[in-house]
Amino acid sequence: MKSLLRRAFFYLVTAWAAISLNFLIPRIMPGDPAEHLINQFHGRLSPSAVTAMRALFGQSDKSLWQQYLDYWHNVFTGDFGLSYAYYPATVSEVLRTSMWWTLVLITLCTVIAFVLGTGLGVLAGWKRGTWLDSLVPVTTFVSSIPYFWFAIIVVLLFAMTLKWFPISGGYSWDATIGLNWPFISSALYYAVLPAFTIIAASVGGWLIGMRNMMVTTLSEDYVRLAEAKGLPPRRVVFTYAARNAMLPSLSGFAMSLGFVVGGSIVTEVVFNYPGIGTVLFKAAQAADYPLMSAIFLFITVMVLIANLLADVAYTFLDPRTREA
Amino acid sequence: MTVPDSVEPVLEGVDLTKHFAARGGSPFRRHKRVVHAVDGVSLKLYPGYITALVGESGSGKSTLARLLAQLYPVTGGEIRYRGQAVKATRGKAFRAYASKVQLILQDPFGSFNPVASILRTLQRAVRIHHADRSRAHQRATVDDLLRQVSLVPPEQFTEKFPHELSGGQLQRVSIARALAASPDVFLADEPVSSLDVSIRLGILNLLKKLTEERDVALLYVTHDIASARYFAAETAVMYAGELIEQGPSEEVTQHAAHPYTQLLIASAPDPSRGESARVKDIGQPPSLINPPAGCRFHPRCPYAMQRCQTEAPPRFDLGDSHTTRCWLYADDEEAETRRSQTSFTPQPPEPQTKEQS
Amino acid sequence: MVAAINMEAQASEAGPRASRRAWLRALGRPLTATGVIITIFFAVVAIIGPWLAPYDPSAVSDAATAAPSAAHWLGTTQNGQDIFSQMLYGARVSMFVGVGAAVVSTFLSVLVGLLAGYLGGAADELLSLVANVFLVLPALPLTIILAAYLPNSGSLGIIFVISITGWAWGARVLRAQTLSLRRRDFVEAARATGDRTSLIILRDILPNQIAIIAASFLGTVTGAILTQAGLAFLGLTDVTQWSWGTILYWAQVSSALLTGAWWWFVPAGLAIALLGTGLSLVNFGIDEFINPRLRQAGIGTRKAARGITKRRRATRRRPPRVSRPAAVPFTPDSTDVILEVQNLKVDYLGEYGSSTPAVNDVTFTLRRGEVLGIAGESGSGKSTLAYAITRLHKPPATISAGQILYTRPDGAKVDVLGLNEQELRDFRWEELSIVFQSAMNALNPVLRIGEQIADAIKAHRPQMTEVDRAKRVIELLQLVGIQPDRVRAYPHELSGGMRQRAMIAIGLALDPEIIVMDEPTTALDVVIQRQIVEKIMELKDKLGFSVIFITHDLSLLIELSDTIVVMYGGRIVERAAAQDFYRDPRHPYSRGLLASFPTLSGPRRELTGIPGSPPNLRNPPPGCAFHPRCPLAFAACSEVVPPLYQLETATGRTTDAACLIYDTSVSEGTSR
Repeated sequence: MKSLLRRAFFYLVTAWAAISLNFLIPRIMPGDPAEHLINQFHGRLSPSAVTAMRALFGQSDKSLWQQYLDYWHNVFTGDFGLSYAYYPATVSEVLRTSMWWTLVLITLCTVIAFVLGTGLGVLAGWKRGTWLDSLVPVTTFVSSIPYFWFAIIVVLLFAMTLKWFPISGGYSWDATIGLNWPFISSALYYAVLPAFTIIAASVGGWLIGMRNMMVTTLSEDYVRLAEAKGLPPRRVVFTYAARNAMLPSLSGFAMSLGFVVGGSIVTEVVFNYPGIGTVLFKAAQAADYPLMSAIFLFITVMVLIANLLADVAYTFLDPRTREA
Repeated sequence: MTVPDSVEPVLEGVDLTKHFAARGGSPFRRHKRVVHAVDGVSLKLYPGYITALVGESGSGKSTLARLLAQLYPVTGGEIRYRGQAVKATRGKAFRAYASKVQLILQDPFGSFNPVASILRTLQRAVRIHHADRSRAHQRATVDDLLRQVSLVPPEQFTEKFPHELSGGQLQRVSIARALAASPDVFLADEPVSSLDVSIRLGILNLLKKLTEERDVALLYVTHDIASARYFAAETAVMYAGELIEQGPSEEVTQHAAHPYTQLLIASAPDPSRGESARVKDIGQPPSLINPPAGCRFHPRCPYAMQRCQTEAPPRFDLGDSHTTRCWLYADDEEAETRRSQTSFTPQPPEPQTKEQS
Repeated sequence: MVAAINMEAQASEAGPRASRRAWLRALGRPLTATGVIITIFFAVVAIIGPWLAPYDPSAVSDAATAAPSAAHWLGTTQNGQDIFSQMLYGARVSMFVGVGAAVVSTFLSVLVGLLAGYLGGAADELLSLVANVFLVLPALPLTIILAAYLPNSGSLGIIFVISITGWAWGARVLRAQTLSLRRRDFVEAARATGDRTSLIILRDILPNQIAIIAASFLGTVTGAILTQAGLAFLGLTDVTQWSWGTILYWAQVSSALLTGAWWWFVPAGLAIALLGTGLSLVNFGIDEFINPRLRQAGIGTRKAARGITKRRRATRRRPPRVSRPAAVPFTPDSTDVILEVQNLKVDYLGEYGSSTPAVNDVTFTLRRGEVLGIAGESGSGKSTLAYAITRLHKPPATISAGQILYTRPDGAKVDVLGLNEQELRDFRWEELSIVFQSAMNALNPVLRIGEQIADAIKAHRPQMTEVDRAKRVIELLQLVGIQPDRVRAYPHELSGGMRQRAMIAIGLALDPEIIVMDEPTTALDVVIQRQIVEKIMELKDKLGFSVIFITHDLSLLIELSDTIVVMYGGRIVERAAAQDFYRDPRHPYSRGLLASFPTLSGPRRELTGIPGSPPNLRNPPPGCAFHPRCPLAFAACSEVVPPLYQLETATGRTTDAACLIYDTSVSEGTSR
């Protein structure tokens, strides 16, 4: 438990660092982005919006410390100001409508890719020296493909040529958002291709990592002893080999997750999926800094929570970490 | 083979203590836990003689060797080189000290940089301690070092990489590296325990030859008390960070006084002993974070008395420079009765009266 | 990228034996070679690409959105720009960003990793914290924001942005590696020699990290190229500067997908994927170089598998269990043979069809209730033999000749090498179990001790109730002297001696006839070793099993064995009753070995030892493997492999020794 508390403490530090970074970036970047942005609106901004914009870039009468405190206040009240890309909607509103799409899509895809990749990795490691070894170069190739390009090819094949799935969007225009079957079924239907893209592009990494760890673990003495004891192969593979081989994958979850999330964001853009990735893209195009930094914070918090969950799983799987 | 009284020690540890911060302690707690790796150990090394330091893993014997090499700073006590207290754990002072006191490590496969050839490794050592010599002279020194450890012809070894040599050859190179400094003291930390039995003897004989020929002092750290009997003039036994018995090797191994030394000897495999009754013991060494009060061996000791649990025993002189830290050798009735139950067979000169150290 | 994580786990395994030849071997593997070729190809294109380009990549022409043709190999864009030329120019920018970012972030990684690892203490805590924070922050969103703040940033800006987020992983790996290197003996040896810290870092630590630094560098190149492409695709870089990402950006902006202009976006994506694959393949090569277990994964697996299936099957299916007759104490004259090993040969298959015999022509018998001690030094083949008897040897080791016969208590013979997988599973543990050398490595770290005993019982006695099984586990623990409340302990919670006791409890779980013990006490201190050995002997007398005890410690072996077998260079050189062996060893090697052990009791005797070092099995000496070290060797010894000669002993029994001095026809006047 102590180690988990320590990890939680570390994530709090990380969250603090991310939020502070977010506060600092606009203030240390060269040039005058505020002026640049205000000019883009050609006077359509209200005076209060202009003040808010200048405040965002630290152009304010208040001391830096006071600005920092105000910033924290805003973070905790969820007040990230107005979005310029979706003017006059507030950043929080934009986030609230788009976050669920991404959350559901990425959570599902990550879990499926992890289970599938790890499972295949276990198999490929166990059956090393057979044809399954050829999975390695194949998955290497697949995981080297940029997500977004893979998305384009998937669209070309399954949406444009075969016309099995819609080209873009998150749900059919005639469905009303809510907990009703027409909407859910249409959302699922629209999610197939983006999900397929993310899973296919990320499964290889898990597979190769798990295979290599399996190969390493299988030559451990305890696996040999398990075989010697005459245990059924299934128990040898799962309880003895895979459970130990999985530990490094889990502890490396952080890095992989950041990678998957990044890839998914760009994938969303290709599919014009109504999630956070597409919003981030539009925000970046329109130089909508408030929206961008809010999205960054949101993603960071989500990644931290996912990491904490991975740590819990790790603690559950490895008794050695359970004591201080 | 005992050390005559006239010989002055070249290196001396006086009341050496080393405590390490324990790992895994809470960072929020002020009071840090410490591992009592070495506690109040005094040891003398004499030129031309081998002193064996015997103990099990975790007894602090390797830590003591590293303290004497000044690789760690001491927590307490002092190190005297030719009677002078020296503190030299870094920089120039350390380099000067290292040219006098050299450490030889246990694992020959691990103690060489895998990507450097033997020549490069030895040249580095020569360059440190003979910076004034010319390049050619340094190169010749390397060949000479290899010859001294019987790796002949030297050309056959200089261009090799560590993985191309056997364990025994590597340990010889290790000794050559230590010789480069022309030191007065060798500290050999289990120099043969990772080698095959058939080649251990060669290495030990080489060390013994160097000790005698060059009149250097050698500390031979080992877990094998039988080899101490054969190679060392003096033997010191450590248990749980403390030195519990010390004296001429033959004396310590044939008339072991401390119950732990007796246990160690009884446990060592030795077919020559025949089917004698063995000490039954189910205990194991104590935690060094919270060592037992009094004598650290008392929870395992079959002869433990009341005072063993509360008072740490002082050093008792058994004559012939054989000393032990055990209450059994106190000069009173209870101790005497207890003592008669042990396998201790005193030498003709009876144990003398207690002498506080 | 996940693959890279494993390196962290294995970083400390980069052994001292990693040689230069291993580098070449790694390069020679087809996948690695492919990777190297791909990488070099793209590097060359990046350098000379712009001079090869047939057109100015930005020049517009009338041939708009034209499919690939002789004039435009990869077709044209909406504005009639030549895509092939754009690809060639793009290679330079993509590679420049990739390599540039990798250089900057690898530099940062090495700096932070080395400093944190070598300095330790507070500096380490702080640097590690910073690295870990950067590792957890999602990189791409952060990169997007930074890039957005640097509008139309050129390649240098992108390199800066990518480096900021990309250094942390490498720093973490290198820190772990530095820490483990710093604890290694050769760094301590360099310190003890008196070397400067800066020199130690430069000469001892850095060169041993080259493989990992290279892996981290190549990984960052791939990551940076992908990130750059992503940023360019999102329009966050200078879109007028041609890179593979900007080609995709323009394709997307111009709806190339909807117009079906596949040639516009296919080449750029393929190029990125291909380069990424090439770099990853090189990295796998490095991975295998660092972690030898990966290298061996495939070798000989198929051949060894075939070897097993080819053998004939001569056993009954799952014979009924026969209860063992009451334990009869072993007598030296017993003829109740339980295990016969005949002419066993075990080969290690090499990478190019070579094979090295590790065990050669080994024959011995084990009788019921006997303790058979097998002595030998490293490389003598004793452990290989232990695994071969239990058929637990792993590829590339393979049994190439010989026979192992087991006699069941009811007298039925079992051909162990002929058993199929299922029969083998029944045979092992039920009839024969094994206690491994290192209990720490042989116990599953994530499973409770009790469970590791129980699962063996469950596998062989599925009908036993859970309650009975739990009772049996407790009984076994008490038998070996472990407190029953430790049943729920994990291996790391037990001391070394307790772990070895637990191992023995597992070995006893099914009350087997034979227990093979491979150096069960080597890692333990003498006092604990004595406790364990006494326990084993006590249990043997109580339960009546037979023991094959393998160790390098001849003194220990003489004390506890009935019969001793000495191995040298993969062959048996002497086989004798323990007391005969101790009093009168017959083989010169045995004599030398016995004269190498210092004794504790009795007068000090002369130790002679054995000159030279054990043979290299890859290149064994001709004739008798011991002849180069043998004081009695004569000419014939380097020509003839001596068979075992049967010799009379003083006690009236026989001893076998494989030495030509006992052959009256060849030994001319040599002293015995």
